[in-house]
Amino acid sequence: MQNKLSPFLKTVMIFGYAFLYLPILTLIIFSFNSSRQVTVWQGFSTRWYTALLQDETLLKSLLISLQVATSAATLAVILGTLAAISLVRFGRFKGRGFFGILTTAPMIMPEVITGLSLLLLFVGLEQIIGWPHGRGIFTITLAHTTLCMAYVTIVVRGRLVDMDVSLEEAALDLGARPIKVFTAIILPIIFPALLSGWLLAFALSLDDLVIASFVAGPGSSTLPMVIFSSIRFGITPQINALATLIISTVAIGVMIAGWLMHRNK
Amino acid sequence: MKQKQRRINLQPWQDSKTKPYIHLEGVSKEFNGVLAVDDVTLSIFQEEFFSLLGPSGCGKTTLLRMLAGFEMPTKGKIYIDGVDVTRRPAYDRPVNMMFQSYALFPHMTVEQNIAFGLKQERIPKTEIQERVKEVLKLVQMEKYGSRAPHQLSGGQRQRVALARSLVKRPKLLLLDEPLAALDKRLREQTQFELVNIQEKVGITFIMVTHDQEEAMTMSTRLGVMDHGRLRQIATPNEVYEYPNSEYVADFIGSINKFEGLVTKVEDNHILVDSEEAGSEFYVGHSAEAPVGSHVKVAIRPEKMMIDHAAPNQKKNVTKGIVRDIGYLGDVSIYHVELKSGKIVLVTQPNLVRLAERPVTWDDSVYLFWRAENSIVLTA
Repeated sequence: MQNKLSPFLKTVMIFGYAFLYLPILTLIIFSFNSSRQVTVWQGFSTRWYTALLQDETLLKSLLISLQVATSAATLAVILGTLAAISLVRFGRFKGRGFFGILTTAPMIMPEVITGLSLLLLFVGLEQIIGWPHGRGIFTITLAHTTLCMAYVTIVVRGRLVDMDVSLEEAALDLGARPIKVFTAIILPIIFPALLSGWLLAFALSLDDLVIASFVAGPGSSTLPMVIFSSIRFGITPQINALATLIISTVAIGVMIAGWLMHRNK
Repeated sequence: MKQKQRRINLQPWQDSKTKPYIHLEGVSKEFNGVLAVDDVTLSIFQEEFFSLLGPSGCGKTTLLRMLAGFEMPTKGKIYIDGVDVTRRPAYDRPVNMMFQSYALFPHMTVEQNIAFGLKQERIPKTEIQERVKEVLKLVQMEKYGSRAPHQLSGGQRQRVALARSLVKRPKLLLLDEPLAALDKRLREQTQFELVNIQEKVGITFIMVTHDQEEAMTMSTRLGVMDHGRLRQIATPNEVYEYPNSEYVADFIGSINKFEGLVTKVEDNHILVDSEEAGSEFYVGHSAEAPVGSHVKVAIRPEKMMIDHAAPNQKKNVTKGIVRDIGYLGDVSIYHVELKSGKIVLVTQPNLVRLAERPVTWDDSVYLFWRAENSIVLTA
């Protein structure tokens, strides 16, 4: 590694990071603005944080979002891992290539189409078999699982491909049954991929507006939906405060995950 | 000393009454219509160190994987200690394998790696600890028990892999190119260590290798494979001195071959007239070659003498010109061109220093050898 960067590289780096983080920094600063107007700085205040704690709609939607993201990420990790294992380890079964494309398709599909098709599916299913009953948190979770699973599959698949097959064979050879091989060898080795897959899925779900808007029902508005609809009446600094909180949480989460992964290596 | 003596005496394949310990009966393996292993029948005896030798893609690894239980034979049966294990899965066989990549579990320490196999058998903890300690001592790795695999050198990892496969005291230990990942010096040293350990634990070893030197040094017997078939099964000495086919002769070491016509068959000699060599040979180790048949006479390069002066013998002599000399330090390889244009290799130990070497480039020389040092290749 070269320690000295040329002035040109330094400038490029500064501009690059400024481009990425200046808007976020602005947002954090303005969350402490005492003015009601978002763009005019009047003085330091934490009133918007207090107001935020009293805004029940916003808090409820945050809770829904967290709940959906947690369940969707967990489901996506389970299903995505199973898909990745069958794609990598079950040899060249018939239709493997096609299956591989199918699992990753939701990733490149426009969200509008995914959302619309899922809505049609849910409505159709309800008419035919009466399930899922109505739309709400459950349908959003299912829809997000579909989307996130594709990402998890890719992350876990990469890790599995890198993993030496002879590790599994060695475990079998030493007398471990296939289930034990999975729990004692494969799972611990791919754990960092599961963790980053989960975090990715969690972030994707928390972030999603389009799909959720299609499959949400009454009383199940997620945070992005509430924020987006409130923008139509003008942004309140409360949103800034909320965003700051979310960013801090995510940053801490990523740092913990990074530390965990580093330690596991 | 006692051990060495036992190793020399260990020749169960000579005794028709000894029951084979590992027995393969007409084993074949087909991958998508391609025969990787073709009708192999092989008997290996208790405490043997058997090597499967062959170029890559000859089916030796597939054969090993069938013994381990990772592949099922398309045809044939595999017996271990009299029990048919052909259809048994890998985790249910009294067989352990040492992998070419060592396959140490990266998330476990050395001790945990070694204990893994014992834990599957539900052996009491104290006994596991004892056996792990014992086997670590055997491979001289006592001090490294709590290290992670990535903190070890290649040679140390190799020892841990060996310890892990030995600790369950299998009836058969399979080694897939166990020394391929080590550098040359360490490899040579480890060869002898591995043989010593094998003698100490008394477990039957089957090793796969493409390195003929390794197979020759370590094995009691070896099998030379080619295109899924076993071409010759014999002791290293027999395979080298009496290869049963041109393929085996070429694969093990280098060899000079002369085409010729059998002109006379005597009691324990045959006389071969070779146009290629421009002379007549007596061949001691006579295969069944009637008068008038075309044969190939083979002589190892180190069994040939090279000199300026004509030797006393009239047969087994040919003449040529030194075209090239390969200097390897301990020996030199002379490339001698005969009148027919054929290049013959002659290896001579460098008894004197390079500058004093009597034979040099473009010298006209005689090549000669003893009748019993040449053989007839018929296959």
